[in-house]
Amino acid sequence: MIVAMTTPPGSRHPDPAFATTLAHGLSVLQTFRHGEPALSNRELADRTGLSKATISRLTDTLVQRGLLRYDASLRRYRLGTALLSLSYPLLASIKLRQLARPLMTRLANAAGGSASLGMHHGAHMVYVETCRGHDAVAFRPDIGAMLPLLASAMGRAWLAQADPAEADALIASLRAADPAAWQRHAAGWEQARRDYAEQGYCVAEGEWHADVHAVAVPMRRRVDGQVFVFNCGVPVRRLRAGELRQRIAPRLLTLVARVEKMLERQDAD
Amino acid sequence: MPIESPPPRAPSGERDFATTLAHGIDILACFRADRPELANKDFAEQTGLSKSAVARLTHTLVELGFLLRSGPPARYRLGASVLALSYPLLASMQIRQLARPLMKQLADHACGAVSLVVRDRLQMVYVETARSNDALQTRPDIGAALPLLSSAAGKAWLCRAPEAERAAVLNQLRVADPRHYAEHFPSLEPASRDLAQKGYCGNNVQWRPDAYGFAAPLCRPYQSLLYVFNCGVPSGDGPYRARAADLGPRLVGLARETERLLGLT
Repeated sequence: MIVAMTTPPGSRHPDPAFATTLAHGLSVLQTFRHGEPALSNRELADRTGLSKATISRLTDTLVQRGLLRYDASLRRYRLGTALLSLSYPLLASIKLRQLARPLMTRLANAAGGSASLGMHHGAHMVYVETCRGHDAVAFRPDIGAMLPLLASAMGRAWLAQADPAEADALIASLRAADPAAWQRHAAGWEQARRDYAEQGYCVAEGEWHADVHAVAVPMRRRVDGQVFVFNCGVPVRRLRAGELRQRIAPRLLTLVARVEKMLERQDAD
Repeated sequence: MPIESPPPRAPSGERDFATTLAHGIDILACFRADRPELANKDFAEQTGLSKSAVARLTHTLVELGFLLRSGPPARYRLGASVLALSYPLLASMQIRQLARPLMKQLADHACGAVSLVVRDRLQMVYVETARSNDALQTRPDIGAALPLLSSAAGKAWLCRAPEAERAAVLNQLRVADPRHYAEHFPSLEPASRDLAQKGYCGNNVQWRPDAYGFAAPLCRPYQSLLYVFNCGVPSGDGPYRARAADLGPRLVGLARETERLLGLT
């Protein structure tokens, strides 16, 4: 899977079958970040490298399709609610979410953190379900959040369970793309690989969000052709020393085992 | 999405329309919850685009991670890039987190589902739902749709939206489906009266035969969206009037408390 593909503005994409206007339009939507919910045409032009004329053509079209809306009071664009409708068939097709949700809610409440379910997507893991058991304002895990593979417990758990050749190839491409990040996370990844082999879980202690420690467990069986991973992240000020591994990791392992039992029973019916 | 956006008008009036982008979005919008996998032929049928145009768009969307291809024969599913786009939108809706504990309390009391919904073009979509029983109710999920004219939440939006927006949406609804419009438009009047007198409006099995719906809008838009609280309960659990008398005022209380938490009042 290709992780990201952007065309420098003004240059022609080498693949003649590639619809550049479509890619540019989608890249406008990808410019929005949590914490920056409203952007002007000028800001969008600055961030994408596209001309203001091109941007205004793209934003007009995106507004027309409901993917952006114009906030007249701010004189800026916000993401449009049609994005939720676009995602709905994907979310609704992942039946595992509904099955696991009650267990995730219980774990999130018991841990005073959040429990999420994610799937692999290129250089990231993407959340498909999140249950919050905390009120921390800054830490806002939610559906669609993207986590880096090497720095997050969930990404490490996915890599650890993957076919070693596939994992190594992916890591080599991540390393080539961002050598500094590899320097930071290489030791954490080695530890994660050992943890997974010995304990069945991986942790990340502040490498993704500095004030959140997380543990993750992959499923052992594929669902809809994918390996889904569960995690539990807890604001660090709530954790006692050793609590993540001693108290929360065993609960997460139990959760995954129970979900797999439920799936087996469904298959038997 | 059951409702198509109107096609671009003549080139002279729509010089600023990026057709390829619009067509690519239309491809992504072809999927349904019960049809998660489609072939180029299906896209061509649903969008009216030529097969070669469709092939170019799906090729590009696969490269960008918005579609996943399997086969042969080639079949497509939505890719996780679509989900990732909606994350900043969902995460920016603080109202979801603030209201969720209160929604859960009311859902438990009602033995039903309490949701927050907003408008998406000519429908309402769910942005958060609390259920009394997580295990049993699979819907409504984030992004699921409700009709504007025939659901309680849709009527509440139509009665309380800023005038210019409301007029534009009503006009588009009339053009999109004149019969549905003629059938349901008269029910806006009683809904508007209920909202003025009681702060909520209800739906006695008009949208779904097995459920009552009650809706209470916030007093004004927040982050330029008018949010509506919706409570859905099975119609078998009691007569409509008794449920309305109990749940309606509680739903209004939920809306007022949320406004206070958001600093809207």
